[in-house]
Amino acid sequence: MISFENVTKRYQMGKEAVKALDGVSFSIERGSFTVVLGPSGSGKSTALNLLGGMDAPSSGVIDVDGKKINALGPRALTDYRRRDVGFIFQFYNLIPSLNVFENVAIAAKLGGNAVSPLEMLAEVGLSERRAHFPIELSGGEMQRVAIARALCKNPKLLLCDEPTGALDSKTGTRVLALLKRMSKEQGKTVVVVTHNTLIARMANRVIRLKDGTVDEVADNSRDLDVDEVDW
Amino acid sequence: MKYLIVKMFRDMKAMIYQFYAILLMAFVGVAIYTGLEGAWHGLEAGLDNYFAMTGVADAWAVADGFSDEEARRISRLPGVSAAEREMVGYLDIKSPGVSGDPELRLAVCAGGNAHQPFLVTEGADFDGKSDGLWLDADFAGAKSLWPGDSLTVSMNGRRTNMRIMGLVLAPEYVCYLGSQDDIIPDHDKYAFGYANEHYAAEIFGAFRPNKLNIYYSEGADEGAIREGIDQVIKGRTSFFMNHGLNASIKSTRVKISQMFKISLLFSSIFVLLALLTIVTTMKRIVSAQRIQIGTLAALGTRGSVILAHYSLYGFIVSLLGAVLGLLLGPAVLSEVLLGIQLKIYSIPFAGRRLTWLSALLVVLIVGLCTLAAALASRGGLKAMPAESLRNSSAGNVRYRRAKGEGMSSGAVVSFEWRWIFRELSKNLVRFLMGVAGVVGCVTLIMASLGLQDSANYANDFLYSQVYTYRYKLNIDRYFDTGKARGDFAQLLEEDEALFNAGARHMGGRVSVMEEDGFVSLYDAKGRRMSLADHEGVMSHMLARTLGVKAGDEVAVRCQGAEDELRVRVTGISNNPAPQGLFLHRDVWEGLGMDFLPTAVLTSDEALAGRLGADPSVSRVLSVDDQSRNVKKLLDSFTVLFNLLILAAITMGWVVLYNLGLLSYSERGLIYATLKVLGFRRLEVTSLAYRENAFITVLGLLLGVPAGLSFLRLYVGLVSADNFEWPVKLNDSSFVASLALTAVCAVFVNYVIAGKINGVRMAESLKALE
Repeated sequence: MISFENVTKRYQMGKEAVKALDGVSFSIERGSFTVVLGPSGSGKSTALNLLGGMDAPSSGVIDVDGKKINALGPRALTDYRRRDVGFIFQFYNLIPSLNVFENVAIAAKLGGNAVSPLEMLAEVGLSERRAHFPIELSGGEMQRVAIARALCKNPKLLLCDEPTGALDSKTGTRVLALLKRMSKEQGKTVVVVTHNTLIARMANRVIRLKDGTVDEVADNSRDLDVDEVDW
Repeated sequence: MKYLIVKMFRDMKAMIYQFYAILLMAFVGVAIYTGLEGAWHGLEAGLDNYFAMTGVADAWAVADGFSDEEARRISRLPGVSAAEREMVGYLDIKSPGVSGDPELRLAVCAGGNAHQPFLVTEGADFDGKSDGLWLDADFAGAKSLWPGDSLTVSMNGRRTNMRIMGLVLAPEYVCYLGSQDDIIPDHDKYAFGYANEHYAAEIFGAFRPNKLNIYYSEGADEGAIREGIDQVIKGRTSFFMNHGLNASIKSTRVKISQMFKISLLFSSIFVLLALLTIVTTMKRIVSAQRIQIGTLAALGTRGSVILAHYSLYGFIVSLLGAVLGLLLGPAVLSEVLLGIQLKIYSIPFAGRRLTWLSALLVVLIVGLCTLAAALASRGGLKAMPAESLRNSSAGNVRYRRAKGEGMSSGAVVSFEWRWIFRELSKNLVRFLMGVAGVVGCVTLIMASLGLQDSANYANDFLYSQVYTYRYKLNIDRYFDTGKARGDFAQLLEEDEALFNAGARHMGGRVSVMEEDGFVSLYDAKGRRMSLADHEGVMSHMLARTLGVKAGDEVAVRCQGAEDELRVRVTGISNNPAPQGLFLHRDVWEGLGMDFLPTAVLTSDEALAGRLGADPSVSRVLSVDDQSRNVKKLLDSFTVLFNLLILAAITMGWVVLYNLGLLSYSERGLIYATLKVLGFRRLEVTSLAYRENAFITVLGLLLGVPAGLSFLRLYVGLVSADNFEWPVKLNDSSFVASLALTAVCAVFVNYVIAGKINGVRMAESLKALE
């Protein structure tokens, strides 16, 4: 169970303080597929960064399975990212000088409960491409490597920041199908931040943010599979 | 264009450290060269000016007498414009208030002399009528003497009061060494002076010229002139000396040449590294702006304007650094060096001075930096705007694909090292630049420390192993040698000589001994040599200059000797000094020469004290004094070496820090990603640590042979003709040169690690969007 309780994040922009999140509260069920929706500047990426332990809130409480993320020190936060969280970025953030296998293995080295990188690559359908470098891959393939890298640590939480933002619709749907499968089959809690409202139909829960506040939290009566969404 | 200039200055502000590195390297490269050039060329130009302003002779002939007729005949020789007579004699100064019984070398000029070989700095102009003394200004300064004061001089017990008419400086005495045992002037003990012909009778009893100042006309053939002089004074002994054989002028020229060589050697490394830094940094800066280049091109900005815009980055920063170097190098470094050198060399018109090479260096550095910036942006302009906008340069490198997955649990090379090696191969020029920076730093520090070690070792070796006496007493021909026989004393004859081997010749000293005693000779392997086993032992540097090997024969012409001797060299010794030939008394006498000792060597303090009171002993020198004198000369280099060490460390720091910064700025996203993945701080920074450590260790390993080779070259270049420095690097200096470089690298690591630790994940990753 994940909960945000009255979370605020302020940035100092010169002499002005800007509130990226202003008293945000919501919760996410364990093993669910949650979509955080909102336009640019709504605070969705900030919320994801706070949840992933990449940034600290100015106030409020963030609870992940009973662990108060907001109260963790730098070392504990690193441990949290190391063991509990897998990140997937819009621009993949693969390390250009490591090949596909190594990009996945680097993460596997960290998690105590890691899955074999080769298994993970097989899972995302990239076994044949394991010796290739990122520059030799398509966008979809790079994102699949990023998913494999995030998953091979065997994290509880999979946080995805616009995972299909840089992909064409066909490739994007494949990536989403993979994420959905991970949530359903492996029981991962997947949180996808996006401005694409169509993705919301795949989610168990949809959290809409607007101007740094929660506009709406809605649960879908039935979360659709990728094939069922009219892209 | 206005906005492009605004953009340029804002870009510079945003990348202040990179531009600061370029500025600093351009500054150091130019400042070191111009600083050193300002000093050596200032001395050289001052010396040339000094020569031009005074009537210094082109050559000198010394004999037991020159008549007016002989001087006239020599002046009519082809290539000779004038031959003017002087009488040179040595007097003791015995004035109250002038301590230490200094020695005065008095030159009495013949009345008809047209040239005045000195410069009056204070008091009355020199004339042929006034009775009085024109005294060495440096000696007068050391003894607080002024025109109008009187000096009592003594010769063979005969005392004369001389009125100081003026103070003078003379190019012939630019570095006046009163004794052949000294290597730097001692203005407290030795003076020179001039008087006119009328005064000679009062001081010396009569005017008996024994020196001829010879002035050349254009196209003079020195060899023919020497033969002509020999024919004119046939049957009498003479010694010919040009500027190259005049110890005073020669040592000054050698010092200037040494400084020139040091400036060229050291600054060439600095300039090379400065250029490499500039090229590497500019390429990175412009590459990082690839998207902006694409944007400008997409907006319709002409390629030439974009090219000019980015060229300006290189131009402005390097120009600023180079001009600063051009202003501060001579103003600070040259002044410091000149101040030190002018304590040894009396050159009245020496001031910092640059050649056109300094301007060329500025043009070269600015030109290459501008070119580097232009070439880097030209790469961006070649692509279509869309292509530039689509790709960032960092991601476009193709790596060689390995077989298999490339890394497994049993991989020999860990992921970290694989990553490092690939990053290094991606930026090969930068990697080589880093290694070159470390090698340069080690080399310069090693050479600076090694040169001091070599000089100190030569000094210690000479005065503890070669010369084992404690006192050296200079004696004249009237000395009763019977007083110096026995276990505690040894007689030594030393004569200045000219050595010839084929077409090569060089001045040096002939040392004749009855036994090895207090002078030990060593061969190249450090084995003791006994003179009794050899016909002649030649010092290594003289042998090398003459191209003489053991078994060869050389021609020796001693000062004051009638005939040229032919001596077979059967051994080469590694003695640092004196450079010359060592002969056993038996060999010397076998050549038809008389053994006429000029010095007594002894380790017995009481004997030295007793003999010192003998009127035939002109000077008692302790080995400690001799060693101290050499140290004084070496100390004159210390400031220079310390400055060079400081510059080397600065250079090492700038090169490594700049490379660290470039890598950091390129890898911010990777470091952030690793942090997000859960890498701990130390795990992330260890990547940078390892990379830097690899570059540093490789640089140190390559720096050792490079440093030793450079030191060998360096020592060979700066060794004077009369003092050969063996190559020596103390263990402590070896360790210090490596340690200083390593500390520099570790400190850079520490600073860069701080920056890596400060990478904010959310912001870094957002920056990509």
